Amino acid sequence: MIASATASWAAIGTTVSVHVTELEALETAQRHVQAEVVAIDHACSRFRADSELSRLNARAGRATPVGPLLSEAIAAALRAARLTDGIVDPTIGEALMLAGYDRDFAQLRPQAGRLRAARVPGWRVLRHDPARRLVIVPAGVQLDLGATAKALAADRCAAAAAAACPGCGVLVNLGGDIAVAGPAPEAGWTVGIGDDHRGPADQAITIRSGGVATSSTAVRRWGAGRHHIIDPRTGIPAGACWRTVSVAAASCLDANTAATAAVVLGPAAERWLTERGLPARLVASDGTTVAVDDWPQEVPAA
Amino acid sequence: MSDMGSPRRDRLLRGVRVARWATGLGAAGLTAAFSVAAAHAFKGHDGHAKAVQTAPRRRAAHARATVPGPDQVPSIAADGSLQPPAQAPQAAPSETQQPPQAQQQAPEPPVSGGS
Repeated sequence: MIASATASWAAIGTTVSVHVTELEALETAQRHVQAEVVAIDHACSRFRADSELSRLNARAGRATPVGPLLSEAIAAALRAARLTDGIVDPTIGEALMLAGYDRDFAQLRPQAGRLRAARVPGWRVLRHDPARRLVIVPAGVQLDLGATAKALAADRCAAAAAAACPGCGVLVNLGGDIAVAGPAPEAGWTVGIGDDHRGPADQAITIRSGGVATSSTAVRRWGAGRHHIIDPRTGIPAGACWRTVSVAAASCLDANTAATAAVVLGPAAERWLTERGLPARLVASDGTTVAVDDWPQEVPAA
Repeated sequence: MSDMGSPRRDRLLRGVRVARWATGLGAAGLTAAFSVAAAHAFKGHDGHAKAVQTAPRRRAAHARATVPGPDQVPSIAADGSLQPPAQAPQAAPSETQQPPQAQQQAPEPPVSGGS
């Protein structure tokens, strides 16, 4: 059994789908997922002038009160930065813009020429008081929560839908960031793994809890060497060691944090993931794959 | 050369000495007077003066807010590391391993990939 019912729609510049184990729970689950997705878009989008994040960036240098969801997203981004020693850093906004990612991806045109590097100030320059929900982004710094906010949203969506549908298992897929909650199907949730969340999948695995996330430089590109995963150490898009990294973790947030860190770390990623016991699949730029920790080996096509 | 008597010469020398003292004292007095005048004319910062209030009152209140650094942010998962899954992922059974009924009903699984 894969799932009893599925609904999908376009939102936040990608595809959203919700899968439930009980057909009658689909409508309720979808409603809760839609509400969460709308909320995260209003709180964390860098491309909406009216988002909370845009307002926060515009008030750089001043203490700014933020709503509970943006405060949670910033805490998640700071935690990701701390646990990756700054490899996944929310202060890359200026570097992304200099690399050319200065508007919604659908509006980007192919670009060429020399990449311009920005100095990434680093997550330690941020000040965040979660109790009072106050944030100070230093002047000249632009926050980007792309590496963590969507994965956090997937976790929140799955949890909210499962809570609204007791006894029902839920899987939420936000553009490749997958989170599950509630009782899993008997055989687990089947998840395809590939370069692009729109398919096709190169491998199929099953999970029962937590999440799976994939970071890839094969999609969301706007020119040679131009993609959305910035290496904070250089201020330009990460090197071409790994084309795609998929990670399974206790939450989609942790999975996506690790997948993004692995792309940035390059040759050091395999050891870094093994030390943390995170099952992962790494695809090199030439297409060869490496399975780390308990990631299932691929069955060669007959 | 005229012959000048010594009393007269002594008087002249005393006069010159007095004139030099008077000139020195006058110069010192004038320097002090100008210094005081200049200090009053160009006050600068004396370390105790209050900054000129240019920002609105509300903004100043925000600027004074103190917030802790990121190291004091509590971890969401209440742990110090990225958490592996409770159960490792398994290889999904291939289509030929599934019963025919499941093959017919199974929709395309969700795909985790780049976006």
